Amino acid sequence: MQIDLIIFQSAIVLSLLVFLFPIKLKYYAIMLPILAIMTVTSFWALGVIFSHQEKVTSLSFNISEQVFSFWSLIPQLFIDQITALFILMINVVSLGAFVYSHGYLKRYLGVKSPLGMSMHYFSLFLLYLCMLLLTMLKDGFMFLFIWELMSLSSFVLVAFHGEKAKIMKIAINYLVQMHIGFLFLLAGFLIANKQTGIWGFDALPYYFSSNNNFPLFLVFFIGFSIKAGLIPFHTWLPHAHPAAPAYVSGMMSGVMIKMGIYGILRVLTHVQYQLYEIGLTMAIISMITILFSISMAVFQRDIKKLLAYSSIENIGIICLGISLSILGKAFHINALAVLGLTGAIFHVLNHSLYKSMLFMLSGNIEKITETRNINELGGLAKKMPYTAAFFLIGSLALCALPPLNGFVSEFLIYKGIFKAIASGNFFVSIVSILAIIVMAISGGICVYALTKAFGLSFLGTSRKTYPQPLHEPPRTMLFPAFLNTFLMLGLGLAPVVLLPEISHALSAFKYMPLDKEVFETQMTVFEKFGLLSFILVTILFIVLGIRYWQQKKVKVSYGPTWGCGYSAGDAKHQYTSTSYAAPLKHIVSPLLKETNTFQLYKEEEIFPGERKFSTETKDRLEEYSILRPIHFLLQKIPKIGLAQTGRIQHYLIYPLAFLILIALLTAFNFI
Amino acid sequence: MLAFFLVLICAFLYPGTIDKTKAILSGRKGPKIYQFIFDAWRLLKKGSVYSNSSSFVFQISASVNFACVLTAFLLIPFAGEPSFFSFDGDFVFMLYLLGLGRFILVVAALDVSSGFEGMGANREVLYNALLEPAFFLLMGTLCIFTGHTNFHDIFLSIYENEHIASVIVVITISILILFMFLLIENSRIPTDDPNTHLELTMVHEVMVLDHSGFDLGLIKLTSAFKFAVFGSLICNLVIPGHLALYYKIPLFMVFQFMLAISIGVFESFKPRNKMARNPQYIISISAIAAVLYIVIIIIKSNVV
Repeated sequence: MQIDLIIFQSAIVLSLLVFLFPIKLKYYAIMLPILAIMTVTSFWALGVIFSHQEKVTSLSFNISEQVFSFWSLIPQLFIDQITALFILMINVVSLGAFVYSHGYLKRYLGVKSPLGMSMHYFSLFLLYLCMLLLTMLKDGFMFLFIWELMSLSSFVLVAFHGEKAKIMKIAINYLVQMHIGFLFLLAGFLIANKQTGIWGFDALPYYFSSNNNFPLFLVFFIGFSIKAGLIPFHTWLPHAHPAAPAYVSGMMSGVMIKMGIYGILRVLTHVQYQLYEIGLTMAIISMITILFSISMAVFQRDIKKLLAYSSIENIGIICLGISLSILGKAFHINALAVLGLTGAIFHVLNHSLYKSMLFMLSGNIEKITETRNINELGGLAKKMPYTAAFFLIGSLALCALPPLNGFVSEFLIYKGIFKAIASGNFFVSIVSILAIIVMAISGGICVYALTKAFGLSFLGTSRKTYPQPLHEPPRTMLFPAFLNTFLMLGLGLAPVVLLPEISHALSAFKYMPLDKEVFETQMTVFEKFGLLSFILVTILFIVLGIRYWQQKKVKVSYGPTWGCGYSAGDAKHQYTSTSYAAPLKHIVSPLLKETNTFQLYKEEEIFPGERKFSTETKDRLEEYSILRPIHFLLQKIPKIGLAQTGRIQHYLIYPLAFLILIALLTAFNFI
Repeated sequence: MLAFFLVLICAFLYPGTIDKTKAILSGRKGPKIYQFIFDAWRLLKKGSVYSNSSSFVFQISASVNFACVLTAFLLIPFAGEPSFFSFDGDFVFMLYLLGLGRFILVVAALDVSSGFEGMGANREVLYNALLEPAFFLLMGTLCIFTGHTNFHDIFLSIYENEHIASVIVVITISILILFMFLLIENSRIPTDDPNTHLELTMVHEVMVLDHSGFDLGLIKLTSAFKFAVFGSLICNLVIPGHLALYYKIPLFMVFQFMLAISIGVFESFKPRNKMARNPQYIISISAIAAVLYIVIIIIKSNVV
């Protein structure tokens, strides 16, 4: 018997029992099936990675064709190298998120209704399951069904605080945008089906071999990039992430938006021609995405919104890597083709680790201080040292600084680009240098955004009195940080462990001939790279050791901060989020819409009362791409409704007019 | 191996040479060239005063910054002699190492909850975000010019091009860009002035107002080391790699010395920019680098 399949199936069935358990046990009731599925799929994925063989499995194992069974709805599951990496990534991030949810949801146990909690837990399970299944499915119909289920379950998760009208609005906005993306995917599969008669990804190789590749790719690309959050389809992301509970944003940003990337990769595995157009389009969109979103991130006050914009930037970097690899292939520069794609896939894994961790740590801040506004935070590091230290490590990884994992993947992309430049092709060199400028500027501005997020919220003096004394959150809420930091350091110091697996994964790409030579030189580079990271850490510990020894010998005292002789300064003298971002504002002002609200003093006001000043920066692209069109539609649609008067007499005139029109047109031989 | 120690020796003499040049040009006698070593040693032995609002980040900041620059030393070749580590894309690693040091120094500045240091911090990150493309553009130019993607091979093969005119153009403009890059990266005139007396007009120096004792010593050492890192890159461009070792070592020292003097001369005669003009000035370096890049790419790929 196939014990793994039995566990997999029974876990799915058992998860429904969550509705029956008492509210305090619901967490454990959902945790059990999740852990079971996690174990089974991890074994599958590890098996594929170590054996280098694709695994094909079917959930309906007692195959008797006549008997209809529920499981035969789900067709075969395919696990290849890319899928295996994605499965491991989903499992790691989700494990962290589930453990984290225990601490986070504690205070809602008495507030929320049992049904609401069950729905939440079940949606969490469903989101996890859907993401897993999506990576393993090839059948188009089932893929769309699960894709839809994933959107719905994440909608329920985002709407956890749905009793607030604002959050419900955000959740519905998310749902609507997901459905627009769904329509594009449906259209893509339909087009392929019409030509080939096959449903699903299997149709793509036949379609692409005999038709123009670019239009169909574009349809899929738009559909998937709405999920991934590429500009201009990013508008749901900066709203939905802050609205959701921390671990849900961690899962959404860590793995769910990567499903969009996964979809793009899956389509790309079959693409054969027109690589040049495809690569260039993707490159331009991703460069705009990177620059725009990272500059927007600097101006956010909400720490989760800042992280959300940074997620968009990282999706941009991933897409840039993919697009450069396609261009590399189109111009026969193997180094760029291999390194760009390796870097992109590595970045997917890296980003899922640090971004989910950062989102959950910002949830810690929210739980303890009950605010996410950087302008109100400050001085958390002294009372929450673990949260602060992990947030610092996460920020360093996010800024792609050595010796952490984020740098490895960006380094791969950089290295591919410089190799391409050295090859001397005019067109590739121009695109490459643009990519390098974009990545260099975005790296610098990412430091800007993250020093702001970390420095202003964790360091300095607190700008507000908090509702409860600061303390570390429960241990379950630090677990994902421990887990992810361990993996991040491992991947940063020893990237050679994962690189061969990713290179094997590249073999799934039809257009990508696996270049052994590029790969081998890359391995020697990364051996040195890892060693250098080790040396950095060693030197750091030696210096810190000397410092520790020196500090014990000399007199160390504490005093007020240097204030030019002025010692009455207080927390208000510190830089705030808004003032910290001010220098950049002059440079990127066309992208921003800043609204200041302040009531001016009137002439007759002799003793002016208290005044409030508030400033808000908005995403101008969102305004142009979403808000204005919707406003326009809301204005115009009622005019179409003029005909709909509600009077039966009018409604009788319409068919009459129609008949007369037909008669006239026939009489004059128009139809 | 050799490179590491040569760069280290230069590093200790850089600040003294610059100060001496500036002193002589302004009619003073000035301290001895090696005075910096005593100053740094004195600071390293001293006790420290920490701000009440500082946390563990402040404590580790100077050490991390120092460790980063010291590791960057391992990547610097010396005129054809290999460095400790040489791999494709090592210049990316070097720049990001310096980025790590900067990140930690910036958050340490925010840790002391002082308005001055916050101001320095955001200026520093903005300037460096604008500055980074210049370095990558320059390295891109050198990559396309030589066909290699690491420091060692680039510097070894830069003189092997048949167009001697283009070699001269590339090297001259590269030196110009690196020189301007060095001044901004090390927070010198014209974007910043370490000797100013007003905290409001400082950028880098205002960030380290609250570091004292051992940490301040490390910061002084770090900034001297950074001079040596970029100074060595310039010297590597100038010295052909195929010369014999007994020519190269004196040449290297002489060029480093001349570079330090020219920084001193430059600082003596150039006023600092208005603060609002700085971003424009920094972007202009990238613009020069971009022009050089496009010229070289047109020459190399024979499109015209």
